[in-house]
Amino acid sequence: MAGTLYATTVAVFPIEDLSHGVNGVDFNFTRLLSKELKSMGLEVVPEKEMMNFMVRHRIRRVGSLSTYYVLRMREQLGADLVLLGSICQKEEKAPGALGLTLYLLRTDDARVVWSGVEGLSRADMLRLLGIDQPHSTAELLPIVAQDIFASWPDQMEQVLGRIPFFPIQSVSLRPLYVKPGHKLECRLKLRPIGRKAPDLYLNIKGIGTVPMYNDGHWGYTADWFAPVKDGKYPVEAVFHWSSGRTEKTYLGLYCVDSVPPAVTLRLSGVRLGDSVAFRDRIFAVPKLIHPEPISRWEISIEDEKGKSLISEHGTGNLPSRFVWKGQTGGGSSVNQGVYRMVLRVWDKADNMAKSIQKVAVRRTPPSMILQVKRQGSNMFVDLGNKGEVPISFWCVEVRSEDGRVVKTSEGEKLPARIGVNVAEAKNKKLECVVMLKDILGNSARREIKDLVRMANKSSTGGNRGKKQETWESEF
Amino acid sequence: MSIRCIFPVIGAIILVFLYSCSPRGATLQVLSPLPKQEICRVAVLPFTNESQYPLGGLIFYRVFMAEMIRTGHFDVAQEGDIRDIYDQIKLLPGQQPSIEQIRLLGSRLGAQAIITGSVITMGEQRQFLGMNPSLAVHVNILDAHTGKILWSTYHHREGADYRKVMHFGMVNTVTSLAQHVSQEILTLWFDKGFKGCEK
Repeated sequence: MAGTLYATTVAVFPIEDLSHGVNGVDFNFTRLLSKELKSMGLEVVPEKEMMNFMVRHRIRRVGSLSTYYVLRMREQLGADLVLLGSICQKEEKAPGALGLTLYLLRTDDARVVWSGVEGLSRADMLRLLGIDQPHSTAELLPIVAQDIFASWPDQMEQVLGRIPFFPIQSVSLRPLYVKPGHKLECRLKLRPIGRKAPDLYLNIKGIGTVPMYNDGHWGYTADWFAPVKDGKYPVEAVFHWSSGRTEKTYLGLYCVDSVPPAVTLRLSGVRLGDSVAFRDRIFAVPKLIHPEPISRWEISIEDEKGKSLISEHGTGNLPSRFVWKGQTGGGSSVNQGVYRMVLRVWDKADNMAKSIQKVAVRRTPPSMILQVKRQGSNMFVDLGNKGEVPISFWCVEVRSEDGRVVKTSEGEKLPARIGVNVAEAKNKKLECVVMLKDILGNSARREIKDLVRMANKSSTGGNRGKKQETWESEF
Repeated sequence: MSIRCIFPVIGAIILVFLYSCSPRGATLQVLSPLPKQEICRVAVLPFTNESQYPLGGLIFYRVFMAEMIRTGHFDVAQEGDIRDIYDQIKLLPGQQPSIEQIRLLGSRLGAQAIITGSVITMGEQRQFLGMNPSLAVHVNILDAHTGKILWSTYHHREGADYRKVMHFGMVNTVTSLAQHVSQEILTLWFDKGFKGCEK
């Protein structure tokens, strides 16, 4: 549909200057445009009235205007058209450039009816011998304004379409995630348009029509209970205006969720039976098996009686990992033992999921089995591990009394047997140092001052520890 | 070598030269066909800025929207209405809306299609007698009812691409380059069937 433009009064909105950031305004250029429009035979709303309107309606942004305010400008300023504009580019540095966009809005239906873009650089205006060549962006401004207004429309084409739904000032649909049977609430605030507020209903999938209560000040509320079945439920508002007109608009959707999230806690450490052992610190990586939005989480360490020793909580997504240094909330180290690491996770509908992992604090040195046997001219050191934590490293060093190294041996697995030739002792003492380290980092060290003597003792005292069959009067 | 042999060689060189100097077009990826009903009203959502150019996203957004209005084939939703709904749904202009938010924006603005985009690079390089601006953008057309991306377009241009002879035709400003890029994208869309309203 084509229509002739009869409007003559133009409200020139302050021109936004993006070269000074999002809050930049160029009043000089605004005045220049107003002057240009007046020269085209159009009436321009005075600057003071324009500013008063902005203050009255608390309009802070100058680059754009919503439909509601465009319609109000017609009512309150008598404007038929509104001119909005942005200086996209203003560079004084050589060669210097200026960029401008303008939008013209019609106030009777709040539609953009014309737009213009112009970019100009001083490099575009190079003249022979530099005659009439602009030297600053200020000199480029009138040229850009004239160029852009060259396409100002005499007639404006009108495109048929739906007017945007502008009466809603604010909308609140809470909660967006809910358990079955829980209460939901929708609040709407409308902009005062006309004399009588409309009747409002909500169309909710699976529920039907829910009337909204009007508070008499253009505010509406409605509440209802979530259906039993899990799923997504769209909500639509239906406006019945006093004129008989009915309008619908989509407000959003809410999710009914009765299933707790599936969460796991993966521990990095040494598995001992049903627990994971550590000495200094343990890392736990949480993972949602079916990722979904999380509202909050809590992790705690409990002893075997269920008493919480330390806990931490947070909102939003789970951290990538947790670290426990084997301490209580007060900072003191916990005793060796088995503890429970409990992770609780709540989804947006407040369904709670729990993952429990047993952790074992092991700080005792490896329990060493050391036996020395003599067989003829050879001695054998038998090394073993009595503890449940596997050994990661062991070493044995045998030295003579004068400090000479007689034998060294090392390995990663136990039990092990190390052979030493007694002849190496040359009738002197042999000193032996044994060191063990388990995979958690606990270590044990043992020194034997006289290895030969120990070997002799063990070979002669074979019945040591054997229960005496007769009573000894002097012991 | 006879003169007859020289002509094809020169011809081939000229063809190669012309091909290398020919302007690069926008790349269009059709992910889904356009809806069967006429797309009359569109909402152009604030573009994101991935470039280092200050407010590059906003500059291209303003120019692209102005060019879309200038075609006269589209009823373009007002930026102020879009920002109003952004405030209501607590969405920052730099953030990409979710599918659900796209559907809500489409319904509230009465739009059949939603345009989203981002400025990937925007810059200017000083040259003899002028400036060579460059711009790379990514613009998508989304179905306002489903929130799904229908068409995805990438376009990259420099001011020097428009040079005809010597310095003539050279685009010296980011604004003018954004205007050219917008026009080329809209022309491509029009040619491929995104034609807007029949008047």
